[in-house]
Amino acid sequence: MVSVGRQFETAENGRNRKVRIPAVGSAPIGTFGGIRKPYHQRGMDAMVELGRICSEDRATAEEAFIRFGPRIESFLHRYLRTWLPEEAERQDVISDTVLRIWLKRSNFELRGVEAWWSYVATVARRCALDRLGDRCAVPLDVEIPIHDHQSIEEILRQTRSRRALYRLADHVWLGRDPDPDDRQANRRVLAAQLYYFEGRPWQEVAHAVRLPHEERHRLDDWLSDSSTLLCAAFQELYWANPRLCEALLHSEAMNWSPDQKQIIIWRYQNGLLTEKILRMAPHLSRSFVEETFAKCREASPVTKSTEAVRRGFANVDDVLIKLAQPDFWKRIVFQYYAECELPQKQILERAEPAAEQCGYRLTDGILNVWISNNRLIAQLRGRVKEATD
Amino acid sequence: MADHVELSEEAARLLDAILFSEPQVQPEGPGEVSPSKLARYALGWTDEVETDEIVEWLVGHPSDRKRYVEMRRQIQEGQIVDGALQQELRTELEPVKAFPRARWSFEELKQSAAREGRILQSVLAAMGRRMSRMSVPFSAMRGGVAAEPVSRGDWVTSAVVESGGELIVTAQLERPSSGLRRVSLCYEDPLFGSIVLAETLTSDERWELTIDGFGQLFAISAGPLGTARLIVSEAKGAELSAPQWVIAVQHSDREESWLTIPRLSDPILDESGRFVLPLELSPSITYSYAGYRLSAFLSMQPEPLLLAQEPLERVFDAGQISGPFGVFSGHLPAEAITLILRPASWRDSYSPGGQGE
Repeated sequence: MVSVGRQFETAENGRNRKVRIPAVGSAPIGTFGGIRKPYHQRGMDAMVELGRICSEDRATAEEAFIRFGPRIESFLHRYLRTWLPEEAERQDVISDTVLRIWLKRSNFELRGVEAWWSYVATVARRCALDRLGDRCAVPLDVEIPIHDHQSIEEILRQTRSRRALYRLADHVWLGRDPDPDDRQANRRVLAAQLYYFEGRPWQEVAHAVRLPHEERHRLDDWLSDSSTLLCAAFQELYWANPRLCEALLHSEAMNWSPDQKQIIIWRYQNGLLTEKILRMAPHLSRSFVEETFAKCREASPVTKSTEAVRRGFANVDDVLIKLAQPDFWKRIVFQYYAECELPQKQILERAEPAAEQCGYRLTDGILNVWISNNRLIAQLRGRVKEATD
Repeated sequence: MADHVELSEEAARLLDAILFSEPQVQPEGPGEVSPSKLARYALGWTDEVETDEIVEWLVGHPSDRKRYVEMRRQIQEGQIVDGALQQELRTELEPVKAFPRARWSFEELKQSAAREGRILQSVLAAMGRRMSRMSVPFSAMRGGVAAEPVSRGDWVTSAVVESGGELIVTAQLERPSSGLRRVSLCYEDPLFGSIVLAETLTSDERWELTIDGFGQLFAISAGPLGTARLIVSEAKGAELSAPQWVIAVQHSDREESWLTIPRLSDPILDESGRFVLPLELSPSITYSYAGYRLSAFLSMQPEPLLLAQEPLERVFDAGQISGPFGVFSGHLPAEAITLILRPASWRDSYSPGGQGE
């Protein structure tokens, strides 16, 4: 049974008519028709779903579109966001694009995941121009060299999930073994955290990672492996939204008012900018919001955790040196960008103080190169290319 | 280094949008770890799958890692105040209250061990260690008072644990004056009491029997077993020796010996949950082990729980050893208690068959 979707007015063929498309917006992103699928299956299912969307059987195509639609919308938000920063305008273009993709689905020849998204992007640029005309900053014709298409396909093949993507990032910037044995990697990192940051004796560390005492030599290897120690430092110095928000809300020195708590959640849990917060809570003044941010910076747990990391590794020169180099901070910035989806300013706000404490100067200019110029993505692509050449 | 490799602007934009529009609603990592699960992990009770989940969680959640460290500190110091730890222990200890028995059969033990879990299993493993490691004759354990078999004509001539875990026993029996005799084979443990391993009706002078699952139940590996504590007698039952405490003495030269003292009464957890065990130490023992510290552990797998720890002289003066266990009040089975005496300079941790460092 296919649910009835939204109706759109369309002016195709020179006259207005109503078109019904599957209700892709009714399912939250990350769920397929309201039923969550195991994460690891989603990447592998993409081609299958796309094949169904292009099917001649309308019911099959409709069902697939319901499942895959949220992903298309999410892609379009990300793809168009710098060209169309105004959310309402962007949403209009996305709606047009989704409709057009649905109507033209049978014209698309499925040649691969990258080709599909390239097609969606082309349709989106066309829709933006049709709707916004001269006001639109979206270029109609953009070229992607053939070798770049191949590179993208290769990266997508190797990083079918976020976990794989982060593993690749660990490999590129922290030197983690590319072996995807996350179970072992986690045990190694926990061992390092307990030993260096919590000061636990080796017997206690061995108990935590369930390593028999006879295998102490393995533990010694783990605790002297610099990539393991960098991974441990990364876990300490990366302040994901929920972690930072919780730490701020429970900051002992601060007695937050209910309004301040709400601001903290909006800002640090949801990543909202000041303008959006002011729109959502008109009774708050800009100065009050800015003042709350300033207090959050005072109460920030980042300084304390960075001190703990430096103290823990005080006798591990190799790691201290690497903490003062760009690769470690690329990894941190990449995670803020990829997982928290923070704007550049907020990435700088979170990462810069810790980087400075560790001896690395992270600036807006550097972030600009890394993020806006896509240097981080290019570097990941470069490593994938090296591995496959 | 690949840093110089450029991707065209549109290719990078496209790749960024594909990679980062991947839904994140369902996290790939483990689900939230409950306090109860964390407590079970701290006690060493989680299986492989749970352990992996919790390890992954702790790696990314420093506040829970600190809570785990605090739980471990409490476990090691025998001062359990964390609510989740208390609850887990209470649940685990509940079935043990009905645990002590005057006389067990081997089959009953097997069934109970499967049913009652960690404590009985670890008690049996401790008993297995006593069986395997006791090189001195059983009589020597009782301070030189010989343990005479009930019937002088019956004795065990050999006992071997096979690689499959079965115990193969050969016994020499007194010839019956007429007809059949009912004889039993018992293992008599100084702490646990008597366990009837097998019974038979026979008129023979030789009895060969196989007891399946013996090695597994007592966690004993293959090899010959001392026969001093295997008693063959008329099936009226082996005469139980007076209850005793066995104290493992770990010396600074890493040797280990055993002491036995009379068992005056069972341990209790008083109203405040404090562990109290009355002990009557002789002046000669106190003198011989001056500078040693006595520790009482509750037998648990994979590691025993420290209940109390005091200098031997203080135990002698007070006539008891006590500590702030704090989990619940009531009875604790004596069989589940392990007493260890070791030089006071050693670390507190329990090290079965080993030494603190």
